Amino acid sequence: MPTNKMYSVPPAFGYMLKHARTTAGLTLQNVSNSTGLAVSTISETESGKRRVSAVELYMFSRLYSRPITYFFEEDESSASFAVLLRAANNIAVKRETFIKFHELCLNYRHLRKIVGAPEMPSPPDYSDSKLTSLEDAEDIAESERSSLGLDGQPIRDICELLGGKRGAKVFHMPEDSEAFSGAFAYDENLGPCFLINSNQPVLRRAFTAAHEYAHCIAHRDQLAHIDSSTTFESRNPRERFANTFAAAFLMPRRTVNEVLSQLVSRHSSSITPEIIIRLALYFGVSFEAAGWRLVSMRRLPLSHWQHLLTEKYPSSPTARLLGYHNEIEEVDLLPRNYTYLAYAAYKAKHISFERLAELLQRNYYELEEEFALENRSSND
Amino acid sequence: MAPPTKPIIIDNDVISRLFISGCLHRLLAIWPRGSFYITEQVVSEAQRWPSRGNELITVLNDLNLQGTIIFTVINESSNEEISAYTELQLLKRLGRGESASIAIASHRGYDLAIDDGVAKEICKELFPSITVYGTSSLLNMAVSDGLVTRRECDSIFARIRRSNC
Repeated sequence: MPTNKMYSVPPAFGYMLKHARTTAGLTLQNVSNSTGLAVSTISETESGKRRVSAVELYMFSRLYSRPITYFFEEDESSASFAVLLRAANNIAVKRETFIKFHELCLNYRHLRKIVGAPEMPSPPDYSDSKLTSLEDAEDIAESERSSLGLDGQPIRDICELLGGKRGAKVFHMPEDSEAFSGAFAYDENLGPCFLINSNQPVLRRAFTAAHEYAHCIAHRDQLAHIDSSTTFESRNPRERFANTFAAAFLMPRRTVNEVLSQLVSRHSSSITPEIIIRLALYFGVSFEAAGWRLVSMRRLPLSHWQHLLTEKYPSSPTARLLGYHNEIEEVDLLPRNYTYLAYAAYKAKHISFERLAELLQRNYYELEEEFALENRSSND
Repeated sequence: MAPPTKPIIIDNDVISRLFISGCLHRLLAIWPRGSFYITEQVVSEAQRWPSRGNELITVLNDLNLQGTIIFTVINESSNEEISAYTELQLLKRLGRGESASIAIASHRGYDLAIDDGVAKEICKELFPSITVYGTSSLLNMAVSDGLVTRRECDSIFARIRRSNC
């Protein structure tokens, strides 16, 4: 093998390199000082005008804290993620979270390629339609449910559903910021990519996924978006649209009415907190999401709902008795299909076990220990 | 004692297999000082192992203090090591630890102890000068060098089989 081999660079190389440098907050001069390369050399490399050496690649990788492979992607896929990184400056979300999110999405695409997975279906794009009204959001939600063959049933696993039928890459990552619920990025080469804050209570995560999906189909022209609101009441028309879509997508009007007809007493038409809890559990959403849905359907007066909200009912012993635990629960951080593809790549000997552990974000020894235990129990 | 002809760089999987079967210290401590190298990636991955990381690190540190194993890193002033590491990473088939182990072995003239089939295949293809050992060939070498008896070697094999790693 030649010392310091020179590599021809793919078309997106320069863009990815520059993106990584600017994301790291470094100027050309900073990089020059750290690497000993001339500013003009770095600039030419970022323009894709010259080949790059193995040693240069290694230096860039160390300096920008990116895997070496990051620069050698076939297509650009940074524009939407650059939007996220810029927006991260305005909210208390770590930039590393979005960098990791981008890398995971790139890994996902690579795994699909080496395993030979078929093309992923794409979600529809309504961003040209300039749909803004809340009625539009309800209609699109109905139409999407119908096209997904959901009928009136509750959605048991929205991440699996959107991953399998809409090609969404849904990753969960823990973020300390309570305000950060999720983000989406849409890229022509990577498709729809959603990030959900796994530190949210479990019942809120489904709503966040549906909310991000609304942005993905209705506001794709934005390329990317971060959700950093803790309330359902937003003045931003796009956020209100996404909230209405999410509520209608997860809690279809007809089914809500059917469930209510079985819960509301013939002697009293008032909606009690217990009924809202039952509804929330039926649809797998939070107490707040269920209550706001009833308000939007005019089944619950706003003033009554606002009063109920002050009573902190979801954390009451009664709510717990009824089976409502709106707590932070463990979640698979990686999409199940991503894990499947990584394992398939390993089984087909495309990648080593250590690479499998890296792709699954797992400790090598811990993963090997689990495999050994599995072998042991299957031999018993 | 007959030392190995060249130092051997040991990767995660061999370390793990010998450790889980309870033979890591026993098998490595019998070789002369400086026989084995392990990379910082192996050490840092061991440190992050939630259930038994501390225990493994204690064994590795002990072997390091005895001089049997030497901790090492990619030499950043060596174009050869960096080039080899970069080439291996660009394949997107190996972990960072395996890439570092192979890159170091290729440039410094070490041999390699690794069990992973993909890593072995890539190493043999790109760096045919590296002799690649697996856990079993390491054990057999210890027998032929008179460092352990065949009986003890069989007992270690049996423990590895029992631990299913």
